[in-house]
Amino acid sequence: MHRRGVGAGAIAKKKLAEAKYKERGTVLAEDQLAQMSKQLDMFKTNLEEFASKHKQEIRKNPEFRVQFQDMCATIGVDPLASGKGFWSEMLGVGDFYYELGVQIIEVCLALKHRNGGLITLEELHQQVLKGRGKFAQDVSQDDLIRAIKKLKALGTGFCIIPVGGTYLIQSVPAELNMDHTVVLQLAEKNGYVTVSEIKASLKWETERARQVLEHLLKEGLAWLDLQAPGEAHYWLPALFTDLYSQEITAEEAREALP
Amino acid sequence: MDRFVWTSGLLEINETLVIQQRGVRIYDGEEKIKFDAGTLLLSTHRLIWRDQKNHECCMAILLSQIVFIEEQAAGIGKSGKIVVHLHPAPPNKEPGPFQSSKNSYIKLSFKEHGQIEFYRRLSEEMTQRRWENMPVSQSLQTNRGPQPGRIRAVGIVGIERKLEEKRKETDKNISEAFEDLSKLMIKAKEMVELSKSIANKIKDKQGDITEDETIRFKSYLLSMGIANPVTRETYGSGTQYHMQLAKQLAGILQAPLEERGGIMSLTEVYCLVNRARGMELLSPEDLVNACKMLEALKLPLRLRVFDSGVMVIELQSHKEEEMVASALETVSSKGSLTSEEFAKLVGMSVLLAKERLLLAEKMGHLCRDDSVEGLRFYPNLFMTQS
Repeated sequence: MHRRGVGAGAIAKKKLAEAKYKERGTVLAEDQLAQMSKQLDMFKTNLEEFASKHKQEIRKNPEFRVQFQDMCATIGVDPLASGKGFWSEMLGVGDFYYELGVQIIEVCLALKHRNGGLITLEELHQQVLKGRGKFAQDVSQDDLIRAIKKLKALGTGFCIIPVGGTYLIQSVPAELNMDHTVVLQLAEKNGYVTVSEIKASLKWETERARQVLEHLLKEGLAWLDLQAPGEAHYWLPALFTDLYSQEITAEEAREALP
Repeated sequence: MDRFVWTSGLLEINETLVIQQRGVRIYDGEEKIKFDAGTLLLSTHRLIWRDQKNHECCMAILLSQIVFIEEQAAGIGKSGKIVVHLHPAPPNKEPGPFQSSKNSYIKLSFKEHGQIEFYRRLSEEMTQRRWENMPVSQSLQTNRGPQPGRIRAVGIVGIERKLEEKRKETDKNISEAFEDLSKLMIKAKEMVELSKSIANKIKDKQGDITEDETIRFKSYLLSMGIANPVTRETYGSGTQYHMQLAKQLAGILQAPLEERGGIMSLTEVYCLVNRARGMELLSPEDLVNACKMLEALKLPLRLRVFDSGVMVIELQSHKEEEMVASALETVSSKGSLTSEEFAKLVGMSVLLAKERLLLAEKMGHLCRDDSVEGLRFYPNLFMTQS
C-alpha cells in the first residue's frame, strides 16, 4: 500500500529531510562567512589605498577627523573599538586617540587635588596641549571628547557634563545630578556661588541649596570660604581662571600616577 | 585702537603669512566695538584683521608697535583672548578706523578658538623680530619716506596667485579626501549589512553554527569595528586576539603589581601598558575584554569590579579581604582616617585606598562618619564592644 507521511518509513524520511535542512543551514552560514572573509580582504585593500593617500589628512586635520567619526557612527562602525581593528591599524586613528586618553588621565590626576576631579574642557585642552609639546599634532576639543568617551570603559568614572555652552569633565566617580549641574553653571560667572544667589536665581528653598552645596563640598569639588564678606562663599576650583596659567609638565603629570 | 591703519590686506614682498584664524573680535581696551567678526592674519611684519562680512574692511598694525602680549584663557561662556599692549601711534600714521583712543591696548577675542596656537606664533614672531631683517616697502615702516606704494605693485600679483593656488590645492586635497572617504564608507556599510545578515542566520539556527565559525565571525567584527549584532557587545570576549593579549598582560603586569602591593586600578594599567608600548596601543575596550579572560585562562592575575564600578587588576595571590584586616589595624592605631590619610600612610592611590576602606566597612570592620569635612572611617565599635 502506498500511503504518504505515515509510518516508520515516513518518520525516518522526515528526520533525514530535517537533518539535511539543518546541514544546509550550516552550509549557508559557511557560505556567507566565506563571502564576508573575501569582502573583508577587499575592504582592507580599499582602506590601505585610502590610508596611503589620506592618512596625513586624518592626523593633521581635526575637522576631517570629525567628518570621519560621524560617518563611521552613521553606518554603525566604531573605528576606536579596538587597536586591532583595520581602522586603527591602517589609519592610525587608534593610536592617536588612545594616547590622548593616557594624556587626559595624567592631567586629571595631576590636578585632582586642586579641583576635586572636575575640570573644564578648556582647561583640560590647554593642559593637554602643553603636555604634548610644540611639535605634536594639533588636538581639538572634539578629539578630547571622543577620547574621554572611550575611557569610560575602564570604569574610571569619566563623565562629560554639559554646562552652558561647553563641558565639564569629571574624572572621579562622584555622583552629580541635575541639581548639582545647575549650581555648577550658576557658579561659572564668578567662580563661586552663595546660598542666596541660588535661592534668587533658581528659586529654590534654603534646604535644597544647602544640600547641593554640602554634596559638592564632600566630593571635594567646592571649597568653603567663611571669611567672605556677607555670607559663606562656595568656590569651585574647576572654574578658577588663574589656575589655567600654571604649568604642569609632562613629568609632573606622570609622577602623579602612583 | 588708534594704532590701526587701513590696508588692502595684501602681503608685501618679503612679508610672509605665519598663521590666520577666523572668528576673531577686536576690543578697544575693554570696550566692544563694531569689529566683531573677522579673520585675523599674522605675518612676519603685521597683524591684519579683515571683516568676514565685508572684505573691503581691512586693517593692520605693525608688530613693531607691540610692547607685549598677554593670554586670557577661555572659560565657560567666554572665549580665549589675547591682550595686545601697544606703543603710542606715530604722528605720521596713515589713516585708520579710529583717529584717537584712550586705550593703549586692544583685545582679540577668539570666538572660534585657535587662541592658543595664535598666541604661540605671535610670541615667536615677537621674539624673532623677523621684520627687522626683511625690509619691505617704505609704506610699511613707521618712519616713512616720501614714496608710499612705489614698490608695492611689483610681485604682489605673484604672491597673491601663489596664495590662491595653495588655497585651491588644499581645498582640492580636502574634497578629494572627502570623496574617497564617502566611497570607503559605502563599502564599509556593505560589510555592516552583511554582518547583520549573518548574525540573523546564526540566531535562527541556534546551535548549528560551529564554535569555530563563531570565533571567525567575531574576529571579522573586531576588524571592522562592528558591534556584535547578537550580543550587542563590540565583538565580545573570546576572540583569539584577546586571549593572546590576556597572556601578554599577565607577563607585563606581574612585576608592577608586586611593586604596588598586588593591586592596580584599570586606569593605571591602561596608562602603564600603553606608555610601554609606544605604538599599536590598546583601546580601553581591548584592555577590559582581555582582562575579563584572565581568570578563565587560569592566569596569575584577575579582574575585579568593586561595587562603585571601579575596576582593578589583582594578583591571584592577593587577598583583598586579608588586606582589610591590616587596614583595620592601621585605622585603629590612628583613631580614625580619611581615604587620603590612609592612602598616604600605606603608600597607595587614593582611589584604591577608598575601595579598601569601603570594603572594610562592608565587612563590618569600619564605620563611616560622613560630613562636609569629608568621609572619615572609624573602627566599628558596635561590633567589637557588644
